[in-house]
Amino acid sequence: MSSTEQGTSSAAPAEPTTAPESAAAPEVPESFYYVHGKDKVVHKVSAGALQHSALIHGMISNLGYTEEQAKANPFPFENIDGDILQMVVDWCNQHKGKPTPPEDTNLPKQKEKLFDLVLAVNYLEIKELLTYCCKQVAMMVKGKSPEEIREIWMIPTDAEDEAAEKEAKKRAGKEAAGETAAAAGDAK
Amino acid sequence: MTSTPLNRTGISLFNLPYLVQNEIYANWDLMEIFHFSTLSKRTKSISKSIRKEPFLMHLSPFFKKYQIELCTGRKDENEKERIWRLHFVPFTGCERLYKGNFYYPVFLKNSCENFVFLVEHLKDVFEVKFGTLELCIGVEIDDVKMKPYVEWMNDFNWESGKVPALSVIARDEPSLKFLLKNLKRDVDQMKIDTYIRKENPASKSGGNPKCSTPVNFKVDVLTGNGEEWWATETMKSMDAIRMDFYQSDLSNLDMNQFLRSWKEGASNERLKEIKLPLRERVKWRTMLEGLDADLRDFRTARKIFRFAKDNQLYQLHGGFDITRADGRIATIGHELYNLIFENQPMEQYKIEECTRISRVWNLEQGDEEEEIEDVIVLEEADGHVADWRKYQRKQGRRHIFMIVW
Repeated sequence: MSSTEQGTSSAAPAEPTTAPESAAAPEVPESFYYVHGKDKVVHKVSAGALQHSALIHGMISNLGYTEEQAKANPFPFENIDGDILQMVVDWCNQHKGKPTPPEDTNLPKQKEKLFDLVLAVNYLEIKELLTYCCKQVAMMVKGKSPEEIREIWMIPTDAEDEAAEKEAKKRAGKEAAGETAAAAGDAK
Repeated sequence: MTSTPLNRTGISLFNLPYLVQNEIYANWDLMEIFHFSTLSKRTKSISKSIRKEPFLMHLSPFFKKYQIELCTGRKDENEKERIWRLHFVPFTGCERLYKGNFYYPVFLKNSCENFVFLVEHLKDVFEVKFGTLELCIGVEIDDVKMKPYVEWMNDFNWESGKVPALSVIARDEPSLKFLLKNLKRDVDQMKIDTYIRKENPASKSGGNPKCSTPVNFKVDVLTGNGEEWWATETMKSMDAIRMDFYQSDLSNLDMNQFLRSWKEGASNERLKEIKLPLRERVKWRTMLEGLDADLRDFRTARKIFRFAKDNQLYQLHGGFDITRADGRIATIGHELYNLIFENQPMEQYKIEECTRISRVWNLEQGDEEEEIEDVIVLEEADGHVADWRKYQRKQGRRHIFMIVW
């Protein structure tokens, strides 16, 4: 149960357009919250759907927003791509108040998308979806040879690891030297 | 949140948060962890930390279908044990046949070097216990091929200091001889089965098939077929605690030589049990000559005991006692005639044979142990049963047991 509209985080989101879930639903009206990602597209999500996200659920509980305040202040997730946030919101809506199935086959098959989804879901602390995503990611290397796994996961070789480590040490050394020089300059 | 690399062209596993990585690893099966662990030092280190179930590892370096077998001992919902059989690719030319649920390719050339690498690597990454090391040696496994494997067996850091279980299936004498001559690591349980064809040219040129020289390793439990390779010197030098053969080429004189050595305390101090057939009918006076053997009265059940490998309780009737220099007593007798299951009566044919043994043993002139014809008196007229019993009793006169108390 969500609606999406183009706009900025300060823009007032549209009213929900969808009907209540069931006729037997309780009389108490459901409260809605608003989130947006990097693309600033605001998504209206019910509190029930957002319960999947421990992060947002915690934010709601701590902030004690009224619906009006929530409308005026959508939760900004600037580090999540719009399409990924859309996926997350859709998943939360689909599984609102339902027991989660043992498998989810609707996850993206494309490596990069899945990778971004994993990061977003991890950040938003949606445990069940993270479990599905991790399983799907893990299965990407099922039956693959070591070299294929290396390619899929971009696993560096020992030589590459050593070079990266040397580089990091060098950089750290330079930074430390710079800090010392700055401190000496300050002292003068 | 971990930032996504801008110029990323693939998923970098190590860019994912630590807990996410762990959740991914938790979904992996043995093969994914194994392949991943071979990629770099870092992946190996990660693989070691992934929680995994323990495995029993069986090794069969010369087997064509697979070289390493990993068993969990745990059964799935279909009551089938989960097993991973790893085979080198390219190797057998049978890859297409051995692909699927139980057979997993390891993309390495089949060589001793890679085999050793694999064993060490699996031991390092997984929690493994060694099961059986099986060596199927035929003419194709010559000294050159076998040497590095034997060297590895000698040098490998076995958990208990000895090879836990070594099963040798020998189809070629020189290969078996090579193994026996060069193995220097003690073995807990050793089973040797031989299927050596006499018309094999290698066998002909080999002359005496037996390993008549002492070996350089000790065995705790020795089983199998000793017909093609076993001689008194091997028997002494292996210093087994238990020997159980279904075939041997030992004669009464060979046994006499062995028993003398045991009695003097010169060899086989650890010996507890022997069960084997001689190549000929037992002649007690020949076998026990010079050993001061004491024939016990079979009419009284002297002892109730059990062999180490089964739970069956036996009554011992009669048999010959031999006393070692240090006072330790052993009893030697026929498995068929001197042993009876607990709580069972001694059958007539056993009484007759024990009586005969006693009579012959007490004769002044002692060479009347000629073959006797069993007269089987049976109510039923079934000739097959009578023939079988005759055969069984005849064989029983070749089979001996020895228990050191």
